[in-house]
Amino acid sequence: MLGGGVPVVLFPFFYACITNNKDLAECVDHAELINGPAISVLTIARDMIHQGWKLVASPLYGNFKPAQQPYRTLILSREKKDRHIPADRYSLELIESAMNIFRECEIKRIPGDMPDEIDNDYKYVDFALIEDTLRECGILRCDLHRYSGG
Amino acid sequence: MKLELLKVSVKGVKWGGSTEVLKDGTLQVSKEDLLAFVADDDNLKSINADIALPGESVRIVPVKDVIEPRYKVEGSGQVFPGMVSDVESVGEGKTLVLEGAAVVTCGRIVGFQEGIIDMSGKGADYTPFSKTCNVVLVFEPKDGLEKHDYEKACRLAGLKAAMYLAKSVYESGRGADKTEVYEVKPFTESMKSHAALPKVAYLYMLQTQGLLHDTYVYGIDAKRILPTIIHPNETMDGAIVSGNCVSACDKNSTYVHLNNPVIKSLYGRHGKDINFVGVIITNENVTLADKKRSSSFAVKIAGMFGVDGLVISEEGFGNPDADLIMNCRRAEMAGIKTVLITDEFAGRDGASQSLADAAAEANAVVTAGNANMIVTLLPMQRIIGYDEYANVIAGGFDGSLKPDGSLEVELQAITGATCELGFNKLGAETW
Repeated sequence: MLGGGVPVVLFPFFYACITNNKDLAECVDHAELINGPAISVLTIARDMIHQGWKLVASPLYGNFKPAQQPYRTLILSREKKDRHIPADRYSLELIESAMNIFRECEIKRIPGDMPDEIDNDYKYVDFALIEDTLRECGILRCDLHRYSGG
Repeated sequence: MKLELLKVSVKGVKWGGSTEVLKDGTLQVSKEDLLAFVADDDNLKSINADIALPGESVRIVPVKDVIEPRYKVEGSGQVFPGMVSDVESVGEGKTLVLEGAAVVTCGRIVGFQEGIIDMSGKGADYTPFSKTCNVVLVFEPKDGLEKHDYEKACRLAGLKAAMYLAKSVYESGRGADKTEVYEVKPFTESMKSHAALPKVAYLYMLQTQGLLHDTYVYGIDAKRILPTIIHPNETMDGAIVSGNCVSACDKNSTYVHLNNPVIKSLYGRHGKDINFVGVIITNENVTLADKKRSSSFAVKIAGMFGVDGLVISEEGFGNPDADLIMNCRRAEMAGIKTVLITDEFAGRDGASQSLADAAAEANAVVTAGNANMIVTLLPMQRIIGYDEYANVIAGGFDGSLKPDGSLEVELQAITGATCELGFNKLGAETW
């Protein structure tokens, strides 16, 4: 599913970025762009956690209900070991809790379902909230402002 | 450290030739001087000033921040240090306060994340800022201005306006109508005093999730701090400033940071049934490593104080719920009793899980209300700002804005409706 995360020389981790935010994906090394709603991003991340990946940031970052924000970006890390790594319990608790919140929401948002001006704001805020984390992980290729469009 | 708040009671606002508080309690404002003081030609195309008074048929939307006018007249530093003043520490001396007045800033930075203030009708019951006499500033950005630069320009202009109003009133020679005194003794004394009473500290969580979701302490982005101690009086001089564009219902506006009811309440009970030993500030970052670091560090500080109890307040919902519960669990495991203050996103019928995280240790929780509750706001005669955002504002939804101008929204859209510092009237009891 994932062609492999990004090896970072200084740290014994791979990083992976799963997102349905096209603007953000263009600025991140080897981001996995998902063509679908936020729940699809969460589901893929959940499966990766079962394969030994850990969440780097909270899946519920930002003060949005699922009925509002169609975009979601998750960053995961994995130790550079070949052997089996057991699922991280805290990451699983967080992702399952987040998935429940998205499942319970009656209004399903999908990227691009709002007027461009609002949709761009949502993409912008999604990027803004996770930008520092991407930078810390060493996988941010270009800064947010280049894509804000003013 | 002792701070005297010299409170001038404001009962109305009107435009006039000079800025002063008249004998009848009306704050007269020179619009020309105010706009000249806050002008920012580099970033803002225009600033419009308006007045909104309690009981008027006025809707302010989209609201970014609310600030109480204050100005230091004695003691080190000046209000809003690191923002519109030097970084010298504040919290002692004398500060003039225009009680009953507020500066409301309005702009469409990220349209869906701002709030609504109705000055009359049902919506007015849910926001504390329908009771204040408001000077409203509406900011238009220069073409091409980055959103975070727009936010900064609005933030600084609002703080400047608040400082200008209080400064002008002070310089006009107006004395205080009443004085409030706040004093906490140095640690060496406070730890020994009231030996029989439980030692209680306040863990004050600040919204710090990222760009446009930030809070500033002495001008520093609180996302970058390790948890630290702050004197409760420093908050009253504007050491903590809101810089965020999160949901309106439970973001702590600068006004609320200046008037934190948790701090006031702890002061009120100090020496009676508790020994209030201090305030610890911490952040609500998005990375799990930051969460662990801050939670561990904050509880370590509480342990160094040797406190018996910790009052913990949250700002926002979702991601911060994880910080709230982590702080609670760590403190309880360290033998420190906790009381949490939060709000709820429990669905429109109130039947869903209220928080995104939970723990058995969180057995003393104060709620500020359910932000998903639906409320219908009747049309207002006058709109200050831009009401086309009602359909997309957080708490609003497609069809929120009715043809007759009424609004059907969740409480989430109303500024300060479910404030997690308790600066509101909603609550619930279990018995």
